[in-house]
Amino acid sequence: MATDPLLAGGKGFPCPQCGHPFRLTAAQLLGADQFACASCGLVLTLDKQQSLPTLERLRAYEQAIEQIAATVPGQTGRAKPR
Amino acid sequence: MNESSDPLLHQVLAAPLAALVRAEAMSALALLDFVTSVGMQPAATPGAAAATEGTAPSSLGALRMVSFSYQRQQADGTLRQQTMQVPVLALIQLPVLNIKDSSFSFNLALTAIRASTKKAKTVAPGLKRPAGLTEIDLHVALPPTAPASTPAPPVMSVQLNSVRGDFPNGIINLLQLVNTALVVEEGAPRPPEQADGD
Repeated sequence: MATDPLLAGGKGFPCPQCGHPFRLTAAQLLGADQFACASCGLVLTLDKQQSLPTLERLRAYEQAIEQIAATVPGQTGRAKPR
Repeated sequence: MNESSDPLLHQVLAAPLAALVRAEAMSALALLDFVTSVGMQPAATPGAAAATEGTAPSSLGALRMVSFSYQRQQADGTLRQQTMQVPVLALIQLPVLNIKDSSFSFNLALTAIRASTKKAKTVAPGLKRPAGLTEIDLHVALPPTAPASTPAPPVMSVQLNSVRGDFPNGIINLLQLVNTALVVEEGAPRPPEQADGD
């Protein structure tokens, strides 16, 4: 699973129960089904069927980044976030 | 080789700087491509999505959404199934990169020095360069890195340091729209005892 730091630590959205920022990474979004709010514990279940077109698009982008990174000489990892 | 056919020094110096500007422009286009291809559906209007390479689509389609469901307890103790749709652009961090600094290193051989007297010329509206202004043209060449017997191309060392960049204003405006697109829908209420059995 790609863990692109460029796509990690997303902006997030407010938890529908407590308003605490709900932060997900692209890797989490592609690899998990359920996500718990760090503040109130509300569990969000990802509707993969409903979200399939979006997830496929995101996965394709992740794979494209991996392929590009593999072609760069001396590439040991991706750019570090600031 | 005719030395006067060699490029001028300022042309050689400007070339990598111009390359940087073009690289940043390409980076901005790549961000736009990411936003439109990952975050948005193709435009519904026929032909609108058929933007050629290097150009922005003339119109954007609907936001791509990620759907979540959760159960929320109501004031009367019942649980209500709710669904929430979040634009994927609001979830993931956009890969904005800017060039922080750069350095170029290359050797130049001075091949010709020529003084040229320029004719009077309007360089900008209302601004005319006087005639007779003498300028020095420096013609340079990138020398090969090995003797002529073993030809090797000239080498230019390039180092770039890129950092996460600030969002362009247009993207900020777009994200503000994205963040208002979060949709929450309520399902039918469920009594607590029924929900406990699930």
